[in-house]
Amino acid sequence: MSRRQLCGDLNGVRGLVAHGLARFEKIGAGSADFWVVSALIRVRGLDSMLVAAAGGLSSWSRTLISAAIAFPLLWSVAWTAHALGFAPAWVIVTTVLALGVAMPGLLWVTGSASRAFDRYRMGAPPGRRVAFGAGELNGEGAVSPGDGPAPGDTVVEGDLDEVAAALTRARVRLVSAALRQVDPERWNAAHLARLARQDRVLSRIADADLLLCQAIDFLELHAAEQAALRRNGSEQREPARSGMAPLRSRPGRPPQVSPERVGPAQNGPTQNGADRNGPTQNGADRNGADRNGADRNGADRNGADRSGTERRSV
Amino acid sequence: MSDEGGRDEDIFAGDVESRLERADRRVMAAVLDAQCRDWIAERPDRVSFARLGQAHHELRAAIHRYNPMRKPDDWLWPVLSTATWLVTSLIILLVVDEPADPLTLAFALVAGLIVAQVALFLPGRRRKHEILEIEDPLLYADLTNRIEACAATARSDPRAELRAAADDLGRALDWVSATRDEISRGSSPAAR
Repeated sequence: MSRRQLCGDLNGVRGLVAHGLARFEKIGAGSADFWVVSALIRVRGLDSMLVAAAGGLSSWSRTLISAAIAFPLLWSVAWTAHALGFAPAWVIVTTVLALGVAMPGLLWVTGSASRAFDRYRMGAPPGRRVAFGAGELNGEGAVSPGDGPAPGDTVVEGDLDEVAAALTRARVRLVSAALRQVDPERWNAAHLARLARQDRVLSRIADADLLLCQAIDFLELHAAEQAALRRNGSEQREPARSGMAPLRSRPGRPPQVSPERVGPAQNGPTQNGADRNGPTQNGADRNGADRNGADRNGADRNGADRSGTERRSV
Repeated sequence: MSDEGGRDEDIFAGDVESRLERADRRVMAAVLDAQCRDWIAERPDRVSFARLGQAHHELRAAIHRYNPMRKPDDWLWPVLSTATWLVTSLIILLVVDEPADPLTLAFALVAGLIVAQVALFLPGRRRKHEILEIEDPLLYADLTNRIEACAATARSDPRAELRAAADDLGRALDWVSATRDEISRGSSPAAR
């Protein structure tokens, strides 16, 4: 419940996100894949949202700050008007107008004070910190600068899985941080939804959680698409239909879900089902290999290469 | 599904912007409900609300093309607090002997600010939000109808920048149907 605990939780999430982002930037920075780029954009924006989730200044402190600034301002304006020999009514009108003019400035001042307070409470961005421990990352250890593929290297799929795993862990911590803010007796959807609309902390956590879930979803879609491409490439040498129809022709656009996928099972639900199950199993296998295989890098790179050529030929 | 009166039921009521606002409100209600139920593990599913959140994003982009200034969700309270501020300052100025005295004037206006802040904390501010369930198939039929009606209007608009809103709405429709896919048959690779 306490503010300090919230900040600790959020900083843990920031550490995990920064870890995932560091890997992700190395792998996916040059990628033109729609899903990878969209996921990258979302993860990049997360840190500032997590900082904002610390809550900032309450509306009471904002009001008091603006009162403290407005009082001398209004007093000096009224005094000046008085000294200039305005009639009493005009002194009042001038002062009220001065307050109206100063209002946007006051809002800006309180807003930036609130953001500065958030930054002060949350500390430095954890990007360069190696503080997020090896234990937290399932013994994988922190990222060292020399980690990851060299500049000319091809994309290694297993690493994107790792990014998704780090983001999933971050999401778990974020949700528990959110739930810790709420009285356990009132953990029901209606109350939480109301808080997510009104509470400063919870609404920002909900936004950040939405971004995180979208990034994870995109990475999973990307992995499924790659797996389907690879499988179909080895079987029939023709482009695959993965979980959602990918957009090679229109980068920067969300999926064009074709009517036959939306309509009730026309092109064979069994085939679709097989398509759907395939990537999952492949993904699981690959995950398993990730943990202990040193040679899977080569194999995966081959696979990635193949899908790359496949993609160009599409 | 909704109980906000007949106006909310009629998908053609009002101009395109307010129709889109209503559709967006429904999308957000479904997203928040699904998200909160995922948090408390009542219905663990982190994929579908993320996709519907995309539809919200595209709807906001389309609304932004119609009106770059975001309408406040709730206009009553800003107006009421401004009115409180004015009335409080006015009363103080009427009561005191010399209202044009600089110190009195500044004091009255600042006191008005603080009282307006107090007025915001009065009870009764709770607003009823409808609750829409993300797994309700009717929600998707309803959203598709609403968005398609707006997209048809936008497509035939003479202004080019508003015709671009039809693209946003098309993408929003894609995401809505992607969510429906995810709900109805678990099309995501995450459904392990």
